[in-house]
Amino acid sequence: MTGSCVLTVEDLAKHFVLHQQGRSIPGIRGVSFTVSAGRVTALAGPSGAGKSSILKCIHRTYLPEAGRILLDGHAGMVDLAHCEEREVLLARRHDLGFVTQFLHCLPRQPAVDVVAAPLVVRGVGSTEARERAVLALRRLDLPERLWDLPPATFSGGERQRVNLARGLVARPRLLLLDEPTASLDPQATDKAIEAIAGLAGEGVAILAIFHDPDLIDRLAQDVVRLTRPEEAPCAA
Amino acid sequence: MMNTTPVLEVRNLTRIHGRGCDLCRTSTGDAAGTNTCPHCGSVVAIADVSFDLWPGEILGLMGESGSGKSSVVRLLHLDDRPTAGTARFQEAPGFSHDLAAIDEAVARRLRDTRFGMVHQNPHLGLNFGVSAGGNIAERLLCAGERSYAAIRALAGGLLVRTEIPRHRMDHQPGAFSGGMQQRLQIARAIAPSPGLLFLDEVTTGLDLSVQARILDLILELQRELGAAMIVVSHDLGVIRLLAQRTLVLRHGRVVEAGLTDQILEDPQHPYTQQLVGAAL
Repeated sequence: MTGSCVLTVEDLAKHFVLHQQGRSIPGIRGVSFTVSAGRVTALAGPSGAGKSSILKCIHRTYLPEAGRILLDGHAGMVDLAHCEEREVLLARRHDLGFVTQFLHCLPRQPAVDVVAAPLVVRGVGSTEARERAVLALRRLDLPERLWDLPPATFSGGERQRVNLARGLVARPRLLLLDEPTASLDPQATDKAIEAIAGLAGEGVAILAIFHDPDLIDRLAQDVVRLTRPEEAPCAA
Repeated sequence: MMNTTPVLEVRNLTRIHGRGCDLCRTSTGDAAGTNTCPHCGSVVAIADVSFDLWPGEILGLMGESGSGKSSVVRLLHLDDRPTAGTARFQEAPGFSHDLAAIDEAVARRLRDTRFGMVHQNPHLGLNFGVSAGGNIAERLLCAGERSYAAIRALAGGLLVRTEIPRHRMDHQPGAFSGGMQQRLQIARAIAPSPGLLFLDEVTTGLDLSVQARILDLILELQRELGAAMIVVSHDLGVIRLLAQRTLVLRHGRVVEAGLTDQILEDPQHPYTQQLVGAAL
């Protein structure tokens, strides 16, 4: 499986229309690239180039406006830019992981259950799901005394480790990472890098944004370079 | 998990209060900015509402008061009948009903055994004249359970499941806190293990910690029962936590439909943008 193409993005475009302000904000246009199994692909470019918008389009949190997003999923090829919402939900459940900079979780849920949740919705038994969640939390060095507490009270770095553990545990075909180490100290960053590289080693295709260019050198095998939309050499 | 038939297929559901005229639909709605037909004075509560609901899915209905959210729920829960449109409910594989054209006996059976309803106001969903246990027992009796011992055991289990201490079983709902009354409503609603659950502003007016506990409970139950749910709320936080997909209603029309995170982060319709932009 390693090396096979998991995601193909073709000519992706997205801009935002703000009706109240009567304005439109440029997003991305003409973006094309591929992501392969077992490799870390980095999205690089200045802030405002649309890196996060690309990840959100792939997750369909943003509605793509043109282009194709072909995912080689568990049930065959789907075009996430055009397929039905139900198919997007199935892809999210089985094939797609997304670690954002913010952890959205239920108010009372202990960290270990937050991490286990993607396995539970896939039908893994709760004992096995918890065991795998514990492994992921240990891999990212989250102190054991925090495991059965809800993440609402955690520090930014602790919360981010919970979030990353949740992304890792499900071992999706394609994992999207938006600055997964932004609020981690150097030691925790090293652990996170080890875990991400380990996951790629297991055959997961990873598409990531890193706040630190040094991390791109350390982790990524492929780099997609973006420019700000107004700088893009294309006709208005 | 790949269930191929929706639990509910709603097509062009329309409810007009009043005599109605040929111009009702075209002269009301989002573009017209009103629900009231200027030609005949009829109120178009909802018009041309269409959607599918899949097994185990939670669908959110969002919009300001008067947008038609509760009208949709009333029609689907068979508390009211539509002026036009269809709503096909799949009771079992290969066995479905059009809720828009159903006879009263079947409607009663579906309400008693296949549907569950939790109202914003506990006085609508509970019988305040009988005990907590009695409230659940009523539902179980309607669903055909006859053994007193079985009913008492099931009711006790449901109370514990909804985090109400078993020793409060013989207390009347009037002696319960607001959060407990809502949890008792949920226990009563899920008693016959319905396939379709309606939740109408169930956490509105409760304080935040009580709200969190109820949302949490709803998600746990959803996983256990595998029931499909329709959740009505004007609270975007509630919709974000519970619903995978959401319909945005305004003046009785669906102005936007999509994945909940997409509706909240990349709203397309001017009204949705205004609604999301105004959220705290």
